[in-house]
Amino acid sequence: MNPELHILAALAPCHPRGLREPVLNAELRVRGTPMSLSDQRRHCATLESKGHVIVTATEDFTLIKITAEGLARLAE
Amino acid sequence: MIRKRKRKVRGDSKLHNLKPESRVMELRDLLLSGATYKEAKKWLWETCQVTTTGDALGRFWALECQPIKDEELSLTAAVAEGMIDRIGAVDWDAATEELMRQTTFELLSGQQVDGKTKVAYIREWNKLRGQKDAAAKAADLARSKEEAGIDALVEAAKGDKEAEELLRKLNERLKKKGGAD
Repeated sequence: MNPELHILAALAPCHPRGLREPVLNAELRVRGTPMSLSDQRRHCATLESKGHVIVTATEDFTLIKITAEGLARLAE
Repeated sequence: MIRKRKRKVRGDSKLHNLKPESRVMELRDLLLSGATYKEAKKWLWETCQVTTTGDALGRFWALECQPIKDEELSLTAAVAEGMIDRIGAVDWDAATEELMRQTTFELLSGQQVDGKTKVAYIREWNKLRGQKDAAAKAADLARSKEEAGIDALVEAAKGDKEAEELLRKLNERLKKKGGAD
């Protein structure tokens, strides 16, 4: 599985809720698919451009949610 | 909920062939309770005289524990949504509603929530409780005004048996209505 799919797999169980950046990072590590925070951000930006996730950044935290399109991509 | 095809267990997997078989579930529950791989390896040696690697434990986690964690997380998300949905009509804007839904999920799933978010979350709940208390107080006040009106009618109806009987029945109906609310 490529890193983008690892991220979608980590987010899918929480749908319609999301995970904060560090929580997603920890979740990826627990799943045996660790990546650096900068890599995670880069992949999330790509996933967002494809409409597979929504990234909401506030001054306090960044929240990532999988979309319906993201769930469909994972199911392929 | 996405259902994935379960990966096949390797035939030579020591961890899936522990004896007695109940040890496999014990190992699963040990890892799910938060034990580290170091602690799991110690338990395996002490109880089953089995040595293993971090990689093998990682594969065991992926097959046996991660699906359970995923189900728990899905259920928690559904429960959090249900809790907020059950509140009914609230004058939250979209951002506040999102904060309440997300924070409820994070708290229920045992995630760390930063102090600022917790304060905002508690403030909104207190506001909501205050609104519901105010609504209950207003209902009580309306009921007590009704009763005050009835007392005046009872006083005026004294001596008129028919009027007294009608008022007594009305009073009972209103008391029942107050109890059902």
